[in-house]
Amino acid sequence: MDPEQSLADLKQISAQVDEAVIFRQEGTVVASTLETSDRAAGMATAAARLLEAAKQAGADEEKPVVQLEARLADASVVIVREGETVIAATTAAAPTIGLVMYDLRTCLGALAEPKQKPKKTEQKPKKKKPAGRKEAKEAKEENGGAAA
Amino acid sequence: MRRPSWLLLLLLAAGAAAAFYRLRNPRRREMVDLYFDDGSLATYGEDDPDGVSMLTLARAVRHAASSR
Repeated sequence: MDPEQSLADLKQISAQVDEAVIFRQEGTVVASTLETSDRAAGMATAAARLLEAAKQAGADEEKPVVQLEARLADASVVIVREGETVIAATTAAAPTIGLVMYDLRTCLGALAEPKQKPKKTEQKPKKKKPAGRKEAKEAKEENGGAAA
Repeated sequence: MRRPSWLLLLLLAAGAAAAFYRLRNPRRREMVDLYFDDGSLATYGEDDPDGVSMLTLARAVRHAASSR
């Protein structure tokens, strides 16, 4: 699915999400709900740094961080990672975090889906119709006439 | 027996109102939850150096998203 369309769907289904940006792990913006590309780049860079800090903090666990929620006084920042692709979102304070994370993961999952190709219509070879009675009779008559 | 003054009653009422408001609107504690790929969770608060740095970066994300 188109990333912009995927984010538009996310905003439609999740009223708790204020702003969101999809980016590659190194910080390259793929799509965002923000008005300007500068703001999107700023948010993606900050989110990439946050994810990097989370990796370092969780290094003792020796397991990759796949989701993150930072609960601030007046808002939450939520990050979900799927391979090299990451989505970061801001929400109002005390969101239903399970629901928000599910929606973000669904949004990333929609990106991973391959585009639907138009089905190829294979032309089947036409079956030869069995000779009708009339045609068979005519052929028989011709053969018979030739023999006589 | 001496009756309690109006001032004392007023102070008691104000204290009760403040306690009620505090209970209804607790201060939201800032913290970061990390979810790992095996489903485990680690929480970092403001009392942890890693938590402080992650909260600072989270504020930067929030600021970048909201600045106009």
